[in-house]
Amino acid sequence: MNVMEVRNVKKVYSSKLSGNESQALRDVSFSVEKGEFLGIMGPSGSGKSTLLNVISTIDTPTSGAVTIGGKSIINLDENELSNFRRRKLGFIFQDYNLLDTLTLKENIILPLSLAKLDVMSIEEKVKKVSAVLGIDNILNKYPYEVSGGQKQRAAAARAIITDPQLILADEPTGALDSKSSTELLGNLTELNKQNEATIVMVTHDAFAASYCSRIIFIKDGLLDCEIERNGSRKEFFNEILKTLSLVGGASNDFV
Amino acid sequence: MTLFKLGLNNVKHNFKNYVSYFISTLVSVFILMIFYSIYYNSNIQSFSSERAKVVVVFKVAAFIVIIFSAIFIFYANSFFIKNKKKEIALYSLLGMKKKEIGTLMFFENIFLGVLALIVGVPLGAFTSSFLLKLLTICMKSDTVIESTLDIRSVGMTILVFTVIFLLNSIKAYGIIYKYKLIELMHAAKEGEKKPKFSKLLAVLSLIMVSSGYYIAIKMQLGGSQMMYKALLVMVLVIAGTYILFNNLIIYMFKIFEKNKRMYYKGENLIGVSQIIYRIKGNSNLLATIAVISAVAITALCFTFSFYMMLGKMVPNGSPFSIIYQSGNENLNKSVEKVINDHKENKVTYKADIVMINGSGLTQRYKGPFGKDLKAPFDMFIMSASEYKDIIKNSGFKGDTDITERSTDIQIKKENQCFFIEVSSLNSGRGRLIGDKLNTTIGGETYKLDISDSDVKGVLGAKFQKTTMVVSDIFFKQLLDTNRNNLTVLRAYNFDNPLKSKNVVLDLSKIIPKDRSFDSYYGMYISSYNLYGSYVFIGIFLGILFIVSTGGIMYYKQITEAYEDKNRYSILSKIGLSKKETLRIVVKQLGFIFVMPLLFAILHSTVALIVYTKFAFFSKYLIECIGVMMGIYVVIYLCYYLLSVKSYMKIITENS
Repeated sequence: MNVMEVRNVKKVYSSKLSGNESQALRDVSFSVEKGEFLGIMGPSGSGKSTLLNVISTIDTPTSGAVTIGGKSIINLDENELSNFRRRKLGFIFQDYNLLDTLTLKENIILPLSLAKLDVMSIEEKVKKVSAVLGIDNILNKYPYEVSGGQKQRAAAARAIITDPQLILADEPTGALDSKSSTELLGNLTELNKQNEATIVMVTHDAFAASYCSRIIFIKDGLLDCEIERNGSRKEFFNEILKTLSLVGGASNDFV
Repeated sequence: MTLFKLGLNNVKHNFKNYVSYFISTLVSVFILMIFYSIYYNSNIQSFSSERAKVVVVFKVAAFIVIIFSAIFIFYANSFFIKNKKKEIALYSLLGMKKKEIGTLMFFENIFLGVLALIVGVPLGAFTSSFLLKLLTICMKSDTVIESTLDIRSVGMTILVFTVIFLLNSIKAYGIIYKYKLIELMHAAKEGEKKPKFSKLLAVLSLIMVSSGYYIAIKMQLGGSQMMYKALLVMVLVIAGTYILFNNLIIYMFKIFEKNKRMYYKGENLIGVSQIIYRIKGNSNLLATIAVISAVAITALCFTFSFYMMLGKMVPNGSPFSIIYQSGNENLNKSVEKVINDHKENKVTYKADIVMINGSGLTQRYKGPFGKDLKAPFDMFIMSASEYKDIIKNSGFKGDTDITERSTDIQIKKENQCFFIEVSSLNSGRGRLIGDKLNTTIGGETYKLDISDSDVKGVLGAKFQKTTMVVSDIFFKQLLDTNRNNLTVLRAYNFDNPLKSKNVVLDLSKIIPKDRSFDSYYGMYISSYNLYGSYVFIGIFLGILFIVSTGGIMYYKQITEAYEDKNRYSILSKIGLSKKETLRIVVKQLGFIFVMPLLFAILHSTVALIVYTKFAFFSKYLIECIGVMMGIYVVIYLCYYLLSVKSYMKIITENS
């Protein structure tokens, strides 16, 4: 069963001042199955961020169709969009996007509290997700009191606490050191395996991408190629590097 | 490029960043200029010299205006510097010396200051001419106060402003030396610190404010310690307010935070945490706003109600259009002639008020001075029908309770009397019932029972005296033996007493100095002349305060909107709808705005209770105060709505 369908999505940015047009996405189509861990890769300026914005309903495509859970997300109004984001999607961002006015726990329960869930079930769910992500001992700390990895795990906890149909991760390891990256990616894999969470992750880091089960490569606003993981993670990592060198960009990741 | 040019270019090309700072300094200049052009106006000066009190009032007002401009500019300046820290850091990073950056900041400040003067002085001079017209109306003065531009007013404005501005520039200079580069770089990120509070102080603040209230309400007029007590009340309440905003409010929210059922519900989590986060940096500001608003509300309510009362109070001072001590046929004839010569006034009522002179002694009433001298006090004896006639035909039949007089007086027997004491008590109706009165009239002594009493006389300020109203039968008996022991007043009413200026002037010439004479017109003009300027200053300061407090709150909120923008964009990403965002903003700003207003109203209500106690209690007075408070609240809430609108616009627009 497909959780998400992206059909012929185009995105054109035009500057009103100069009249210049730039095509960020020219024609992109792909689908994501339930329980899949999909990676989206591509060099800088390839359009991966635009693509993520479009599928996360933050931006609207110029043309094309996006359906999530069988429901089209194009032409939803403000209110429906907010509801949709809250119920169906979970976000993990590169810069965590935690509120510094709230403790980690309060940050995590934010979506539930907005949905006006009762205190008992809120507490129960926090316990569960924080145990999975290994942050149950720092729940009452504020974001500025914990490390980047811990912040990102809290953000991941916030993303999954509503049991979303789709988790969207935008360069989640971008600001983390290698140890924290490994931990977080391990957590995501675990979520993917145990909870059957569907994850779409945008990254330019081959190591992070090697945790995915399938990767699509985007170049100049078009789908360039895709590879699937069959063997071990090590083999997949090498395959990704090979593909990247063909697609171009991100060569600095070899270092 | 020289530093001078760089500074000039910064201001010129980046004016948008300087706008709010510029507006604040402009407002300060504007207010100073308005005030000083009124202060130095030649008419006002000559007018003031006649009444020393007006000068004192102006001096006090000048002090308040200066202090307030200083606070205002100080606040605007620190906000401005906070926003500039990053720029300073950049200059520093590029290798500019601290001294040079300081000079640059100084130049920028000077440009803005000069610009504010260039715009503010003419604007203030122009507005002051308009305000002077208002003052003339307030004082009901015939002489038109001309607005002359006095060079001293410009000089004083520039002087005061320069001093305030220089102090702030020096402070700006100090910041550059004080901070390390790393602190400057992170200035924008540096949020308000996690609020700390003490439960003990929270309780203490409550005790301070409420004991201040208690002392104020229990305070007696005219006591020798009154000044000290008033000072104590001010210190208690103001300090209490600051401690309260720094502790009690935070404590209250912390308690709310503990109640997870409420705290985790819907938008409360975001709203409350946002307020707690913001409050520490804001609590001193909020307390200041509360105190200033309390002063403003009190001043506005006091002066407005006082002004509204002035007109209504005139009959208390002079119940008839004209009243004078008669008893001389020649005088009566010449007065009659003068009145008839002035065709513009129609006589609607004319009467002689006949009273017998006497003296008396009672247990509980010690005469007009309240001192127990064991000596009899002078008094008038009046007949019940005379009393009723006066009320029926004078200004006492007015439409408010200010001029209301007791009409249901209780005199059932001949040896009973209705006693009018001369006293400053608010409500003294029936106070002396049951007291015995020993009175001496024309050598004879009588014993009477006081069956009813009041403190409101019916003869006006000039003729007021302790009065005993007796039954008509008893009065007639007394009259027979006291033909040579009478006081006769003649009273006239005109159709429009406010047009009787010429009659009053002519009469004051022919009525001899040893005979008392009073007129409605005279009373009216003198009370407006005397109090009009107080009222004007009160309203001027009140408006000044509401404009600036509202402005400060507005600027503070939109600055925070820029800081909160990122937070709301995160929330929007995780699915907070626009409607929910609006609800949170309405609550968040609502709290910030309403909290100081609430305390301001509470403080000023207590102050006004004391005022009504000292003046005199009247339903009309309370109505006026209510109206003024309502107007204040509405204006203040307009700033709130404006802030919500701007805040929403800022946090929802795409970066």
